[in-house]
Amino acid sequence: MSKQFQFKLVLLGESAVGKSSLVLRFVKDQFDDYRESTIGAAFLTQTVTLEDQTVVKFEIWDTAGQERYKSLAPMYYRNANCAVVLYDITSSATLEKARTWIRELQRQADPSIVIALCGNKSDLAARRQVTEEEAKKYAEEEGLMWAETSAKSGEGVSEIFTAIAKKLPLTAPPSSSRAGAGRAAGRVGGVDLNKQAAAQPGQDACNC
Amino acid sequence: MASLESSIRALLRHSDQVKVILEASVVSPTAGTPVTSSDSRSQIDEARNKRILAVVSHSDGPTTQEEGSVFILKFKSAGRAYDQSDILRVYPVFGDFSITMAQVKRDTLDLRRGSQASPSFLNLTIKQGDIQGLEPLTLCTQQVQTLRDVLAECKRLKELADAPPSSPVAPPLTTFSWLAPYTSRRAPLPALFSVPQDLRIARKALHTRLSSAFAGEAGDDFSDILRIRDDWIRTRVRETCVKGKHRLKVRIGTFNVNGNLPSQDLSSWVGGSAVTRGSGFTISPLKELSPLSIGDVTKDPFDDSNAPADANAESALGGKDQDPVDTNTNADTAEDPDLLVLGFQELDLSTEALLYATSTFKEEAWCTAIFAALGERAEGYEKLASKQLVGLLLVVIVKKTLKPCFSDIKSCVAGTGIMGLMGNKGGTAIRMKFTPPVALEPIGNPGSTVLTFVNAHLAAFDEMRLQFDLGAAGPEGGSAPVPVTCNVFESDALFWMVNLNYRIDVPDADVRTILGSEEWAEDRFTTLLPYDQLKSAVRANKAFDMFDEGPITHLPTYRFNAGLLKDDLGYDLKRRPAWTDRVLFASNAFAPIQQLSYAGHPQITQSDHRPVSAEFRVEVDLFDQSAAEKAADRLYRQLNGLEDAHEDTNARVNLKIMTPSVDLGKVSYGKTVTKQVGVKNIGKVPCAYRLVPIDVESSVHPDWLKVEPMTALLLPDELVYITLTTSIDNASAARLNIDHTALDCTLILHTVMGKDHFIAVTGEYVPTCFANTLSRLTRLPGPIRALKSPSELLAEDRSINAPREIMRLVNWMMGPDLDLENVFVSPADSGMVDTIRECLDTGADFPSSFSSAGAGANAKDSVPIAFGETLLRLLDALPEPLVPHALHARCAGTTSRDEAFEMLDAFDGAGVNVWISVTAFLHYVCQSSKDPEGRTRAIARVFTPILLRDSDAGVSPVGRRGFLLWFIRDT
Repeated sequence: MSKQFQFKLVLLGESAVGKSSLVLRFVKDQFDDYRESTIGAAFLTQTVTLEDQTVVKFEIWDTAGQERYKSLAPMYYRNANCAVVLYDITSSATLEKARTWIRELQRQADPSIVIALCGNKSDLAARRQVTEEEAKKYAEEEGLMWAETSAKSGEGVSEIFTAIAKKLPLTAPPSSSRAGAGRAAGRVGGVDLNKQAAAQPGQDACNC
Repeated sequence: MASLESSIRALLRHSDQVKVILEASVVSPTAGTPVTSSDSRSQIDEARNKRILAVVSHSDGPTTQEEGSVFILKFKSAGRAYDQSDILRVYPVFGDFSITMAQVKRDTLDLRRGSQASPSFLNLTIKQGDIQGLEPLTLCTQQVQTLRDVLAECKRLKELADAPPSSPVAPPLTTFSWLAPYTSRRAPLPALFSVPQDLRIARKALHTRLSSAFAGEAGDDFSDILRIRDDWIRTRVRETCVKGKHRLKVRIGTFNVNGNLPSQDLSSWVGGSAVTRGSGFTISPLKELSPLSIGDVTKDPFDDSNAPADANAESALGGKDQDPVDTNTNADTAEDPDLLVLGFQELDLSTEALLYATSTFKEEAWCTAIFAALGERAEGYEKLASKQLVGLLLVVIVKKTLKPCFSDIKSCVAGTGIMGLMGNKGGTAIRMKFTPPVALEPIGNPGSTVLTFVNAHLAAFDEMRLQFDLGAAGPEGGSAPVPVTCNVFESDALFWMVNLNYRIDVPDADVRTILGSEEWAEDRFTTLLPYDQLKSAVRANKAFDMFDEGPITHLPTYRFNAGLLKDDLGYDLKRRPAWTDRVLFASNAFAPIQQLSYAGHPQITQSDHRPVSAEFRVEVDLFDQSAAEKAADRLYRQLNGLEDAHEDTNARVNLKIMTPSVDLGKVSYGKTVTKQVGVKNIGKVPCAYRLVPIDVESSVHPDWLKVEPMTALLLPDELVYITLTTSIDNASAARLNIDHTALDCTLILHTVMGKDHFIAVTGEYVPTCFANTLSRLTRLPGPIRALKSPSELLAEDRSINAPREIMRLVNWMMGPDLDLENVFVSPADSGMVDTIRECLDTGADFPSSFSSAGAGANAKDSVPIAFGETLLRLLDALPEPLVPHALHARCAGTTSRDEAFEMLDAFDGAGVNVWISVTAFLHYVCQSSKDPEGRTRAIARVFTPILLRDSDAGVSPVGRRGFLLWFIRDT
């Protein structure tokens, strides 16, 4: 019998580094060359099935990157189990911004939060400003996961989410039940899961 | 099996769970009895006869009751994608629901009968007799064990549905509304229309009824979407179907008769168009009374007693004269009420009556008196219904011509007396449907409006304990999905005649002084009503807060004493006079009520209470019921896809905010700025939004910004505008004057089942001298607009004696040759007031046109009036009243002029200076008047509530006014 876990994941990073595009690639395997800037916060879900058939369901909050809305971000990362902090490899300024977000998360988010630093736009390596070594070194110092991704080509996208899923504590029911309690999703996880476990596989696959 | 279950789950919303699934097949309905075994076997093989029976249960949360239903589904192709399936029928489990099992009879010999190798066939029949048009269904199945599970689960759900509500508080009506989305593709559930929504819900704004949500916590989107949808359909159905309005005139009377039998003429109280007689303070019920009315001419020639009554009526009703043309009624009796509803309390005070009503003798006596009071118009009326609970009697009398329009008359009683049974306290209620007579409108099947009348005699705060159950009051034809037991609040229009033990929280002597003395003649009611305990309970949302009540312009109706122990007004010396007899009303948007009169009848003296009457006009919707049902069906279908969206709906529900950032520009006190934000549904399915606060403690928007609508439902491509309106009142100005940057905010617009959008709002606050503390005003280095920052103040020891803004106003009005006769009492030109305030804020000179030289005769009066009004408003805007709250009780207790002046030592420096300047000026205004005493009274009336604002109930209004009078009245 497979187990299903549910985690709240938040995406943070400078405006235009590709947060919404990364989510779109992960959730729908699509890419838009032109996307409007997110003014708000979008909620999406996607599941990852691990080798041992454990199903990890991510409740993803994709947040606005613009400075104007920075004060609202804590509302969306509270109770998050994991965070993906994105920078754009073609802009070193975005890595600086990512460092700010990481410091904020380390200070204010749940202490057990799993943080992944993600260098997006790896398809634009020709214009690279941030070397792999620099980012990797920083990630190691801070104890973060690290990867480069391309939402455009899809490279590295599902890998980073799978890696996060593996790193999450899959032993006890996650603490995210509170975070998702209002959502119907939370109800599914909280109540139905054990009772109707047999019915679960296959259903979530239909949801996306 | 698992895939079947998960595919059914996919059809359901998240609040609904599959309990049991049974595969079965239809039995040919033409056969009447189960078909032969050979036929059934061959049919089972045919996929088209295959059905899925699913027992589904629903719960909104741990506090709400679980409800169940049997779904019959058909899969177009078994095992394929779930969107190929179809919900054929839905049988809610309640009331007349039954599911029975029977062995299939076999006409032909079956050799394998009893053999273990052959699974036996079983028939099951599902019935739900409470829903019209939902026919019984018989299915055939082999899955014996699963069928047992189905029966067990249905039994459990049926028991839940039949169980009496466990909560002592009124439980929300079980509506099975969660089934609507499943059946909406086929036919709307008529529950939305057969029973009006509970007024306690209907009268709350939709957004306040949604789940708790904030940024990052979406709340319960699934229940929210249903509430938004139901509201949308209700509103739209009426919008599209209403052909007009029918005006129904209702006269209500309430009378605590103190055990007496009728012994006096009741015509003033009962008689619709009869004008009340013999009192200077009751109001004429009908401002628009026509002298042509027969009733008038014969019964009530306008005698002199009417003159003061008319004057009062004008103020009570704001002089609102409605278009008197009513096409629905005969012109001759147009002013007579269509319905006369009279509530009596303490009809019978005898001991045995407390246990059970022994006879209808008293009821008959009172009814006779009522018809006698109607005089010759009695012929046009007859009794429609009555209900008695010991001492409580409710009588509904109707115009004969309209009698056929009333149907479904139900009544009930509720006792709150000893053990909830004794009839000494409690209520009686009558509910009826009114179907307007069809006149010119092409309405084949006119829809009806539910009117409910409650007559209650309660101890204070008993409203909550009074539970009415009006029995099965479903619509004609019984097409309701549930056997509806209505509570009285499930009405379109609801009237309460209520006798309450609420009193006036003012000392006994003060009440009598205010009611009786000349000094208070003009504002005795407005002075006392804020202390009325019912009004306080409503303000504090403790009781009756959903009800409206017309302005009271009659004397308290209790307690009168016929003997010697009475005051000049006839009130018992031992009981503080009180408005114990009230008429309250509430209605939904489909039956707006306008109160036409509210009066006491002091000439009817036979009881220790005086009777009260009130007249209302109810504007009932004229619509066609069938058209409304069709419209509802169409609207449901338009919303297809709204509620079965799944979690990953960002791609489907898609709103676009046309202007995500809004600059309000300059925002100033007393002026409004309005901006609109377009929200467009650019997705392919209907979708709803609601504004949510940033976190659970916050409000959705700052208090200085109004946002409308807070929630809305948009069809694809629909564009709605959210209107943002600034309104800087005294409270918000007091805050903003100190912190100008506080105007920036972000609104969070949550797409139900979708993303959150941010709307950034910015504005530049323009400070004002209004709504600053006296100590801040005296530390301003110059005009408030000249400040570079809000904290740029003089040192405390360098503050000036009194705010220059107040002194400028007083000094101007002390100028030569001004006519101050109407200052503070006549209404001011608001444009002029704004100009004066602007000059105070900027330090600019008052316009030269304001000087007496430059003004015409008319302006000469209006300019001082505007200055006076500005002074009043400036004093009223002070965050703490000029006389600090802590001193009110001591001030009110002063008994001499010297004592009053000594009180000033307790004021702080600026307070004393302002008090002395203002009262000296007021003294001058009074003494220079042609009528010094009248002017003094008028000014005390206006200024006391401002200078000694927000007094708690313990402080005597007489004493407070007295304190000011020490300063402004001549010795």
